[in-house]
Amino acid sequence: MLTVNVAKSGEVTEILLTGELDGMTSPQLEQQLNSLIEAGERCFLIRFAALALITSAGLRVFLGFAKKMHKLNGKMILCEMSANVRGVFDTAGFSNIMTISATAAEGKALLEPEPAPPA
Amino acid sequence: MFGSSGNVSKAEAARTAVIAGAIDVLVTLSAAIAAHSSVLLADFFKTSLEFVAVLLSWLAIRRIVGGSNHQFDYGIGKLENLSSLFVGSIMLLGMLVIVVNAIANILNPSHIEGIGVWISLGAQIVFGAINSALSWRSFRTARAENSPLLKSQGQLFFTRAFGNVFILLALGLSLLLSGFSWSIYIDPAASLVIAASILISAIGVLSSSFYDLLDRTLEEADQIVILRELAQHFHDYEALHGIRSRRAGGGVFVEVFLEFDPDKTMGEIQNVVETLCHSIEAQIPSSQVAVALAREARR
Repeated sequence: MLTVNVAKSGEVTEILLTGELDGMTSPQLEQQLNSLIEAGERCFLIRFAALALITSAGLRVFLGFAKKMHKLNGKMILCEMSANVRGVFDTAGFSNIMTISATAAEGKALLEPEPAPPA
Repeated sequence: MFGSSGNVSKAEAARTAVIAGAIDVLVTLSAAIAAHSSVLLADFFKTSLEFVAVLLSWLAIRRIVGGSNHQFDYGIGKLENLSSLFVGSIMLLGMLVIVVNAIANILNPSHIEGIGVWISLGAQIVFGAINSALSWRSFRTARAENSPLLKSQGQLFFTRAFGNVFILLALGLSLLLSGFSWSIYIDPAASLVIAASILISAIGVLSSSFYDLLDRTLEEADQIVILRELAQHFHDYEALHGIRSRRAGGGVFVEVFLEFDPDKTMGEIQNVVETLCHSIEAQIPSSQVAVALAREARR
């Protein structure tokens, strides 16, 4: 079972994942992410705080999504991963191609445009 | 992989097993005829059934090796598993024959006697050594080629070597302790122990063959290997449209659907594809990886 909560905060689309991301639930997430891209969203903060499990099927969704973001010059930050989930990302070598931050605040700071220098 | 040299070595191993099995059947038959022993009668049934199984495996492999019409270009994994399934079924049948015979001899016990007992004692020593050697050889080749057929043959020879030693002990004790009235039960009781060992071996062969016969997805560890390689080549392709993988028989088949930059030359794409395929194949034993060029997401 996977719940995907989407919230918009300025330019950033915040996605909170709750439950398990496996072969059964990954198509649901993939579909939602694709819909958001089609709707024009290009800046994503994906929160893993409530995600208990991720399998290769879930990782595959993020690899495909990362490629799309790269092609569209979009931004994607993953954050609040548990040690187990982080371990899976590290083992798959995803930490080298995706930006992973410890907290949501840190992730948001990376996504938000830097304030223009005073004139 | 399913190279022709691999199939030839499998055929040679199976042919040696057939020759050894045929001699074993003749010896056990003559010993069973010349003695009144339930162990020897059971040994004959068991040996004959095993011989039939090994013979069928050899004929199947010989047909594949001899064929030149590319009928088995995708490997013989399924056929090997079907053969293993048959070997396991034969072992179960042999076990049932031994049990029925042992029960009959417990109900109507008699002392073992005759020249057949001495023929069998000599034969058990010789065939015990041969079966041990064949078992070791089959397991070694099965490990090298990831072949369920040779693995099941290795288990079969191990069971037979164990049976040889056990029959040797049972006959020896029956002769040495013939002065005691209860020694008449050593013979049928020993045959029941052999039946139990065959049952355990048959369950192992049947379960692994049946499991491998069904196509199934790869284990998580292997899936991660594929994803890690795709992550490593992240900047070499434009989009990932899907991954299909399955384990069929002793082989693993992986298809990766990738989209490439249209400005890339075929040579550049080929280099990426070859590197990707080779690195995945190097890490997943007996795998065949294919990269398909795709443009739209496959649903």
